[in-house]
Amino acid sequence: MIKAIDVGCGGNSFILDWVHDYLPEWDGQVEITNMDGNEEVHPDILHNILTPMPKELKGQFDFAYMSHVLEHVPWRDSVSVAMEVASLVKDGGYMMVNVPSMEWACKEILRGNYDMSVMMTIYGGQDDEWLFHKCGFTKPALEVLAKRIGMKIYSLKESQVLIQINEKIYNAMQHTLFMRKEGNDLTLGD
Amino acid sequence: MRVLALGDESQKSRYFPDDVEFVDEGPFDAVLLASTLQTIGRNQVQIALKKLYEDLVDGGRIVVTVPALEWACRQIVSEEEIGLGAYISIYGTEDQPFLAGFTMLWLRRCLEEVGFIVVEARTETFKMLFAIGELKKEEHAKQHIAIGVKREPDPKLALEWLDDKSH
Repeated sequence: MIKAIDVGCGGNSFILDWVHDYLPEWDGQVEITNMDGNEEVHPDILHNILTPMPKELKGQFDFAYMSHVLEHVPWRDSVSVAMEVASLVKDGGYMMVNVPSMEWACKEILRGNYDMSVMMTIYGGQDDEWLFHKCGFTKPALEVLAKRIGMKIYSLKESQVLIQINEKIYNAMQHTLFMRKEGNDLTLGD
Repeated sequence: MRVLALGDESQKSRYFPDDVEFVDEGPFDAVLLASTLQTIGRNQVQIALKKLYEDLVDGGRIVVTVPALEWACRQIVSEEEIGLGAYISIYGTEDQPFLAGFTMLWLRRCLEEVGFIVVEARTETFKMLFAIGELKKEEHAKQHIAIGVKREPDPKLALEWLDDKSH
């Protein structure tokens, strides 16, 4: 089995859709471990991502997935949190980070668009304590992040995302940063 | 003159003469929200402004300063290296996170929606002082300043207007 971990899984995860899009050869073989800091979503592992990852999980996963989580972390902690998540990945394994597109929201504001979808992209839905955004990422910021956590970028794409708040659906844009952890053995000969 | 001043203390003397009385309870002749409105949740902004409107005397003024969101956005989408000032103008710092952002248009709309008449609105460059851990830093950033006046509709004027229309 291929082992994947969904960090900050929440109640509604699309991890298998992303696996299908990016690693279709894994379809049907992925075993998912859900991790979240909120016990109400009944995760397999209850863990607050602002604290270091449990030692026994390090290097155990082929794929670490973190979708719409990093923007909820204070900006000074974003690199260390991403680094901890990267430490869960085996050498040669992959990591995906989805975050709202900061430059999309900024461009919309400069066009005079002050819709809910734009403000939510920057500041979060604000319906509960967790739904506040504490930082935001542009493509260059994500490139720096990948470098800081020692991962190689395979792709960095902007795509549409639907956000549901109180039964209402909003259209916004997100970045998908797809990276690989290259162990020393893999980079030899480069 | 009874004034409620919230937020950045250093801005008090800029907007009010020395002899004003700074108080916590209404009614107020003026209210200063100095770099404060962006620190409350988006859903709370109108509620807070409405309450302040009610606590002001007729003809009372509100002075609001907030980081200029459109300036920060322009910095972020520019190709140049982004200074921390732009980023902090949007998200604040760990000690003082920002939960909402305002373009001038949006700030004006928020004030007008609760009944203020905006009599002045401008954007200025200022020195933003902030701390990252122990490190104290200073960056140039931009802020909006909007001044609103509470003007109760005068029932007599409304009647005159109706009279004019009926002729």
